[in-house]
Amino acid sequence: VEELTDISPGAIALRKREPAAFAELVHSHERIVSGLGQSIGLSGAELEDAVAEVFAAVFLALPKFEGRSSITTWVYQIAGRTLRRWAGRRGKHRTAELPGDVPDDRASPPDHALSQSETNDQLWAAVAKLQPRQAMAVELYYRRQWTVQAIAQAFDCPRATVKTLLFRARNELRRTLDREDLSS
Amino acid sequence: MSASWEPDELDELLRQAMQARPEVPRIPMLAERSMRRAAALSRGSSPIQISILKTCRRWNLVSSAAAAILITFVVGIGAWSLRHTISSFNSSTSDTQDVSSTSSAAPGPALDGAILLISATVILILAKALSQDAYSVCSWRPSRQAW
Repeated sequence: VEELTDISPGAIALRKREPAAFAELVHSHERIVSGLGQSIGLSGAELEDAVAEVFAAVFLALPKFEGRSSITTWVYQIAGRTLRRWAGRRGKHRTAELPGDVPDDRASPPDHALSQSETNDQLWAAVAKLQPRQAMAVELYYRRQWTVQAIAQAFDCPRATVKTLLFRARNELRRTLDREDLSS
Repeated sequence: MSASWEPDELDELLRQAMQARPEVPRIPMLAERSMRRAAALSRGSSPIQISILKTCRRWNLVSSAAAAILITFVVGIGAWSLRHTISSFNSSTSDTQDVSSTSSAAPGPALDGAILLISATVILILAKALSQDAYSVCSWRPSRQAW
C-alpha cells in the first residue's frame, strides 16, 4: 500500500484543505477508489458520481484527520464506508432486477467451453453481486494484491474479519461458477 | 460446496480475472468536482438539488432547459386542472340549475392570480434547484457516457 506519512508537509496542507494538496491526494487514490466502485458493480456516470462522493466526504473530513493512521488508510476507510452506503441505496432500487440476474443453469449446455474473456466477464459480474464488503475485499486482495493486514487497516477491522470476508466471497463465487458451469 | 472448484484453482482463476480487468479511465476534474460537491453538501440544501438533478439525468433529459420546459409544462397542466376542478365544483354547487349560468360560476381574477402565483413559486423553486450550482455539483455534461 502506498503510504503518505501523516507528519509530511503535504498532510498539513491537506488538513488546511489546500486545493493543490487535495488534487494530489485525489490523483494518487483515484485508481483504487474507482476500482472499489467497479467491484460493487458501478459503471459510467454512476461510478463517477460515487467516486466524487467519496472524495467529497474525504474533503469534508480533512480538518478532522488526526494522523492516527496514514492518510492513505484513512482515505480508503472513508471510501469503503461511502461506497457501502452508496451500494445500499442502489440496492433498494435494484431489488426488482435481481431475479433476472440469477443465471439459469439450464440455459448453457454442459459441454459449453467459455473463452477466458467470457469467464472474466462472468467473474466480474459475480463479484459485483457479492455483499459490498466482500466484493471490495476481493478487489483489493486479488486485483491490487494487497495483504490481508493492509485490507484490515483499510476496512478498520481485525485480520480475521478480512479472512472471513474472503472465505465467504470465495464460497459464493464457487457456487456461482458451478451454477454457470464454467468448470466444463 | 462443490468439489469441482478446488481452492487453489479458484484462487488462480480469480487472480487472473481480477487482474485482467481494465482500469477505469481517470475522471476529468475529479478534485474540483469533489470540492464543489463537498461545498454543496456542507451548505445543507443541496441534497434536494442533487436528487432533482439525478432524477432528471435518470430520465435522460438532454439539458437543464429541457428539464425546465418539462417542469413548466407539468406545472401548467396542474394549474389548469386545478382551475378546471374549482370551476366545476363552483358550478355544481351553484343554486341555479340553469346551464347558461355555469359560465358565471367561473372563478374570478383573484383565483387566477393565486394559481399564477403558486405556479410561479413552484417554477422558481425548481429553477433554483436546477441552477448553475446544482449543475456544477453533478457535473452534468451531455457528453458523458451516461448519455
